[in-house]
Amino acid sequence: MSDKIKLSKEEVLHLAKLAGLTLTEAEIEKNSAQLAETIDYIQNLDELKTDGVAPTNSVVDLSNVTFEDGTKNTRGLTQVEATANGKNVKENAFAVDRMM
Amino acid sequence: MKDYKPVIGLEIHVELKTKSKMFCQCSADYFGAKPNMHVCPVCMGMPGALPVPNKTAILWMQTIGRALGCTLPKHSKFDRKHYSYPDLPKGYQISQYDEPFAVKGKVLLKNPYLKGGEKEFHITRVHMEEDTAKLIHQGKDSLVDFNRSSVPLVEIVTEPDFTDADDVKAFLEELQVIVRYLGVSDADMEKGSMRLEPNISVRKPGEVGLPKYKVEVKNINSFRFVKAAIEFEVKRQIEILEKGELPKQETRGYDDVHGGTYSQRSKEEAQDYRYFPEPDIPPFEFSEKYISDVENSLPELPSTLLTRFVKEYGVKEIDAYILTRDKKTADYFESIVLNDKIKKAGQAVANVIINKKIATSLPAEKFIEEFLKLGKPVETDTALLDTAVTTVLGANEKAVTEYKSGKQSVIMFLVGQVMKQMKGKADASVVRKTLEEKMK
Repeated sequence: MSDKIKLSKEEVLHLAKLAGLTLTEAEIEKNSAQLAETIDYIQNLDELKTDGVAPTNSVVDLSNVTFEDGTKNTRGLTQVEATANGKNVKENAFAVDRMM
Repeated sequence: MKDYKPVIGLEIHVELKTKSKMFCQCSADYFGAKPNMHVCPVCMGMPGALPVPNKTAILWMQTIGRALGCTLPKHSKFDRKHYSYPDLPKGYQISQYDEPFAVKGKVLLKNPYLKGGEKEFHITRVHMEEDTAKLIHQGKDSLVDFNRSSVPLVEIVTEPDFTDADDVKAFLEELQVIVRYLGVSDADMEKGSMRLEPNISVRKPGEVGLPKYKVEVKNINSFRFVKAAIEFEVKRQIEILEKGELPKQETRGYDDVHGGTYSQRSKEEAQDYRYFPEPDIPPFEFSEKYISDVENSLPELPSTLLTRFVKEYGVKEIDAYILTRDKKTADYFESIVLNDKIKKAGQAVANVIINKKIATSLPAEKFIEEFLKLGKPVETDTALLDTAVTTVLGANEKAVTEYKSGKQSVIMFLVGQVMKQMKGKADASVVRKTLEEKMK
């Protein structure tokens, strides 16, 4: 087996950013250790010889599942339903802090 | 400065005008609708909602791919592209990564306005994805409207084949015409149904291969601006290279008010998209028959039509180019030319259409009637002409003397006088001949 994985603080912060998480110093410490442990655990997959094996992109025995354009919409929501659970709704739209 | 060579590749997004959205049956016709009217759990990204692809959208995307000379692989799938932004409710966009619906194409650009007349550009790939929600920035808020979320979006990526802003503009104009010929999108830049993102870098003198950086420019909503943005960027980048530095790899926005570009997002912050196969959508397998059916459904494309108009109807290339800029005009032109009464007078019909002498909104029959009237020489009443010529010569003795003494140009004045007498009902060449004979 390979050496124990070690994650730098930068790597953990980068992953946290991609995941949309804000971590405290203590959490960085904790996640760093736990994530390293997880990666260590699944690293045994590297022992399998997978040369020449096509990646599994789907585990269902289906293909070409589509719908016909313009067919009846049975899942549509009204404007009221759509915004009912919004924390901050303005002018029938979801308001978030200004992005630009 | 001359040895610097711009290297430009393009990413173009085209929104399809299907009735339904890409992965749900909500209406895709969002333009002008009140916010959050065309929505459902799928396009709002609610947990557990399952996306199902729109069959027509895939077919239309493949049609665009074929029209751009791409190969349509038999196997394909969707992937998830992750990033966090309020316009993306799922936290990922359903797109295509390593197995797009169309790959490796080329477009032969025939354009008489282009240096050299024609050029070939290569297409890397064409893939299917979904549009994002619309953000309206207002005061301290950004308002999110999901009507546009999951509207079918086609992304076309070219090779970095372009070295000149004019070529880019010509290519994009042709692409817009092609997409409109196919009838799959309005490709309207003002409405945002066609969006352009050039990737620009500059090769240093003597440098081989692609430069080590590239700058992507967004927010361009006209062909004129794409040219301006490229010219601005090339100049900006050369100035940096001249100083011996390397321009930063980044995304810049185009500012049409000031005519320049500004930094939006640097590479350091650029997203790590974490693509992986979309587990909610089974893969696609296309039969040979399906693929050949897509091929056979293609209409004649503008460049083919242009060549044919020149060859079959003797139309000047530049006029054939103008006639083929929209399919309706091209089809109308051909229906007129092919009418027995017209006898394939291609250039004459082209002139009339281009100079708007007869409206192309007329039914073909009516157009032909008007056209034949235009071509017919005016019948001249010879008895009336004799009287008119005698009167005019009698009333303009001075002019007659001048003519006889060698001032030939006076004849035009006399022709005009006779035409006036005959209220225009005479053939000017016949009038001239009669005058010349009488003054011998």
